[in-house]
This record gives sequence, C-alpha cells and structure tokens, in this order.
Amino acid sequence: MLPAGRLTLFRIAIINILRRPARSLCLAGVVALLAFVLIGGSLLANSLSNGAANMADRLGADALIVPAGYEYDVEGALLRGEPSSFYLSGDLVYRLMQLAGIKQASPQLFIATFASSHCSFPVQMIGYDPQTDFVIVPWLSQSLPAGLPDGEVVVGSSIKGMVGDTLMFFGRDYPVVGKLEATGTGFDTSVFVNMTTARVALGDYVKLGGLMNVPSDDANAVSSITVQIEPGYDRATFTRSVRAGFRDEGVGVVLTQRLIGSVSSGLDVLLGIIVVLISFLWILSIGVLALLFTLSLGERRREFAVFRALGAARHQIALLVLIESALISLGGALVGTALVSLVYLSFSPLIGISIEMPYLQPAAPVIALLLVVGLLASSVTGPLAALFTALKTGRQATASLFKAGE
Amino acid sequence: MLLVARHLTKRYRRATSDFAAVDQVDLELGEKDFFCITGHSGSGKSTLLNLIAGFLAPDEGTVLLDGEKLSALDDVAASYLRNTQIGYIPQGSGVLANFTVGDNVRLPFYLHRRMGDPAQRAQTLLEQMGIAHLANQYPAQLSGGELRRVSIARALINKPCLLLADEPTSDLDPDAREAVMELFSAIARAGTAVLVVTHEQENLRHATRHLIMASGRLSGA
Ligand SMILES: Nc1ncnc2c1ncn2[C@@H]1O[C@H](COP(=O)(O)OP(=O)(O)OP(=O)(O)O)[C@@H](O)[C@H]1O
Ligand SMILES: [Mg+2]
Repeated sequence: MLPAGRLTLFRIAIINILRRPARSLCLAGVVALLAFVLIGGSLLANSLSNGAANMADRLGADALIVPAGYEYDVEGALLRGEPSSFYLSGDLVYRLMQLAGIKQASPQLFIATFASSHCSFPVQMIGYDPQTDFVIVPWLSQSLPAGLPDGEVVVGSSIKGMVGDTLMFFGRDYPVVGKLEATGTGFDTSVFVNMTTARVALGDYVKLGGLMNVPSDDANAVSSITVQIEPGYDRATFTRSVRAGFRDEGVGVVLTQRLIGSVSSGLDVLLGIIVVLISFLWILSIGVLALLFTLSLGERRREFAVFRALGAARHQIALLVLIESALISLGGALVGTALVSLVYLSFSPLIGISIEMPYLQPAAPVIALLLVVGLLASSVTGPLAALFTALKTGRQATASLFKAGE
Repeated sequence: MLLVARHLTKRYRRATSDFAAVDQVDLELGEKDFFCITGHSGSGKSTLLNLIAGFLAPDEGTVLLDGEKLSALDDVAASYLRNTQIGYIPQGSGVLANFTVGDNVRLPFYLHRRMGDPAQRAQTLLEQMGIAHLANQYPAQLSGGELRRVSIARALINKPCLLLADEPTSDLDPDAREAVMELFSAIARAGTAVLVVTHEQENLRHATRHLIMASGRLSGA
C-alpha cells in the first residue's frame, strides 16, 4: 500500500534533507560551529566583563599601600588569587593617617598558605582590622552581621569548604562560619579572618619556618594598607606625598583606578578579539553556506524544473529552498548550542582559573538569554545565506530546461 | 476545442541574427485526440511543447487552454492551471530521486490546496501502469521503462485534460516502447488530449494524427 501523509512543502523539505545526509550534515556542521563560537565567545566576554565590574565593586578602596616592589604581587593576589606574603611596619598606618587627603586607612595582613587538603589550589589568607576596615566588613556583614569571631574563617566562593566544616592552616583548625558569593577576583580563592586570628596564623607560619621576610621585631607588621582618599583630593598628589613621606620605609602605592583601568584595557583588547573573531566567523559561515547553497542549486536545477513541470509556482520553489536551509540551520544551531552549554557549564571554573583575569559566570537568566539569542542568531544564518539562492532559484526554475540530452 | 494555438512564434537570437525556433504555428487539439509530432533535431519540437505548457512566453501568437489565455496569467495562476489541466512528461528521467515511486505520483496533488487523499487514485494508476509493486521503491532502483511509467502515472494524478510528452520512448526497448504508446492511446480514448513528440516512426501508427515540424514550421504529414 501507499504511504499516507500529506506532502506539504515542509514534509518535502524534510525528505530532501534526510535523503541527502552528507550534504545536510555538512551544512549543519558549519552552523553548529558558528553557534558554538558565537555563544561561547559571548559567554566568555560576558563572564569577563562581569568579573571586571565585580572587581571594581569589590576592591572598594582608592589606593593600596604595599612594600615597594610588591605592587605587582598585590595585583596578582587581588585579581588572580596568587597567594603572596609581604610585610610593612605596623605603625605606618598611624603615620599615614597624618597625611593630607586621607579619609580612611585600614591595614590588611596577607598570608600565603600551604595547599591544605581541602583545597586544590593555593589559598590566600587575608586578615583585616574590624575597627578600621571599610572594604571587607561591609561585604562580610551581609552574611555575618555580628562580625567575625576570633579563630573562625569566612571563605571565598571557590574554597572547598562549607559552613560547619573545618579548615586546617599551619596545624591549627579553623571552623568555617561563612561563605561569600563569587566575585570573579582573587577573593574567591581567599579566606578571611580578623587581624587577631591572622596574627596567630602568621605566628604558626613563622614557627613552621615558612617565612623569612616578616620583621621579627614588629608584632604589628601588616601587608598592605587600604586607603580611601578624601573626595576631590588629587590622586597623583597623594601618591607623591606618600612616596616622599615614607622614602626610607620603601613603600609603593597602587591606585585601584589604575588597576581597574589596566584590567579593563586588557579586557577591551580581549573583547575586541572576540568580537572580531565572531564577526569574521559569521561572515565566513554565511559566505560558505551561500556558496554551498549556490553549488547545490546548480546540481538541483533539474529537480526544480521537475517541480515546475508538475505545477509548482516559483514562490513555492523559493520557499522550499528557504525551509530546507532553515531546518538544517536550526538543527546545526541546536547541536552547537547544546555542545557549548555543556562545555561552558562543566568547564567554567577551570576557564576562570586558567584565564588569569577577573572572571565571573553570569547569572542563570543571563546565560539563558545568551543561549537563546545565540541559537536564534545562528539559526537565521542558513536562511540568510540561502535567500539569494532561493530568490534566484524561484526566478530561474523553469521546466524549459528539459532538452534533448539533458 | 481544448487546446488552440494561433500564430505561435518563439524567436531566439543566434550570433547576430534572430531566428524563429517556432514559427507561426497553428494547432488545435480536442478530447480523444492523440497527435504525434516528428521532426529533425533542432526543428523546435521541445520549444513548441514548452510554449504550450506555458514555460516559455511566446513572442507572437497565443495559447488558449480551455478558453483560457495562458500567457495572460500570473505565475501562481499559470502554475495552478498547469498543475490541474496539463500532465507534462519531461524529456529524460523526470522522476524525483529523493521520493519513492508512490510519493512521486502523489506529489502533484499536494502542490496546490486540495481536499481529499490521492492515495487511492495513485494506487490505481500504478496498477494500470503495472508498477504497483514498486510503490515504495526509490527511483535509483528502477529501470528506464519503469521510470517512464512513473512519470506517466504522475502526470495523470490530477486528471489533466491535456497530456504533453517529450520523446517519452527515446530510451526504451521496442517492447517497452510499444507498451508506453498503447498506454497513451488508451489514455486518449478515455478522453484526454495527448500530444507526443517522438523520433520513432513505429510510434506513429498509434496516433490519430501525425504532424511534422521543420525549421519551426508545423505541418500535417
Ligand atoms: N534557450 C535557447 N536559446 C537559444 N536558442 C535556443 C534555446 N532553446 C532552444 N534553442 C534553439 O531552438 C531550436 C529548437 O530547439 P528545440 O529544443 O525545440 O529542438 P527539438 O526539436 O526539441 O530538438 P531535439 O529533437 O534535439 O530535442 C534549436 O536550434 C535550439 O538551438
Ligand atoms: Mg527536444
């Protein structure tokens, strides 16, 4: 018996696609690749600008005072979570407060810890001073309104430890009492303690023989001083007066604006590359698809002439070409989108670590939106590339092709 | 008269001068007529069929199909007319390779909006052509004679009043050729006007009339 089912243009298109698997897969593959790069690039770009924006929020201070020569290390610690230990004399804070243009200043103590069994990467311990701090306290207060008690830690989002767990540093156990949301900065691989706790940990570290550059005579040693400058006070003047006033101590000044600027200019370059890459690939794939469609039009002239002879109108043939290209490109786009989602969602943390820039996965609705937009954008490539061919086919398709010898 | 062609002329430009591939052709075809056209290669036979089917616009003259002037219609209307009134059997293999024999035969029914299901009629036509057992095969698996029968069955699915065939037996062996011509003859007797272009003299005895094409001019034998 004959198979049933109406032979609509849609059904005809599907039959044509399935009966030419090699051609269809080839075309769909181009679109899948496009969807992959398009969505992957947008996700990456989004995660990076998200990370940069978050870093600006998180840094909170206008300037960081560090030992001279350690400017790059503090950047590494803040941006990339590269643990480092460096120290300044503790009474610097009080002398600094005398300088003109300073609104607030608060010391922090950094300790690069050994990789403990809880962590797959090195961890930076950051001790802050609850009395003077204006950067970390407001942030911690969201999860820990009562403040951080001695001997307890709050961990960054990437640290493998939950509230209630215990982390061990230098042979001492520290209960985890809070976990922070992801920031895309070095804070994600840091643990936070108050200054008292930090001094205990530093003592343990020195006892274990880990540190050489702690001033042994200075019980108040700190690593960096976060500074808030008076609104309107010139930053360059501030930098100059710090360098002049503390020439003998050897201090360096890191302006966070510059830090953010260098990150965002690095980011701009990267985003530019991503945009160029995506545009290039987009144009390339439209070109390749258009070429493939045009080539296949040549070999399908006779097929379309048969349709004409059977009474198909020109617009029906154009529509058939468009439907075929739309279905193929939707299929390819779906596969590419599925693949890139899989790769992105399972490797996002790894990407974040290896890219060495502030990197923060966007919120789920943003990811979903990017996926949908990317899916649509790559799905239209096929019909867009086929449009010219379709119109031309519709115009040319004529049964008068049937001549002797053809 | 079902088909009336008057002063039909189609000119092509070759090198610097125009020449008429079809030149002032007059032709009338009614129900049950079975005309055969012969002529040398290049004499304009295919061009004439294409003009009658409306694939080509004439430079001069008119084609009236059932009183309707084909060249005056827009593409959709002309396509619809072709789909319903004309069964066209193209030169060479005009069977669509991606579709089964059954789907090839059903296809013209679905090209324009219609109620109902052509499956029964397709089945009957395939039986009449003696290829019902091939309904679910793909064209690549069929012989030349079988493919030609698929083309004929497909041309008849919408019950056309005019059947046009361009050299339908050129690549068939004598037995298959005889069978195809007998089919046309039977179709014509059943009421359809049939116009066949052919090279084989043996085919002419089936026709009710023999016309000769020479340098674009059509004349009775
Ligand atoms: N598109 C075209 N442009 C220019 N000349 C054409 C075109 N189509 C056909 N011709 C010319 O018109 C003439 C008639 O062609 P046609 O195809 O009708 O011949 P025919 O009688 O069917 O020949 P055959 O028996 O070989 O099929 C030929 O000389 C051919 O070269
Ligand atoms: Mg011919």
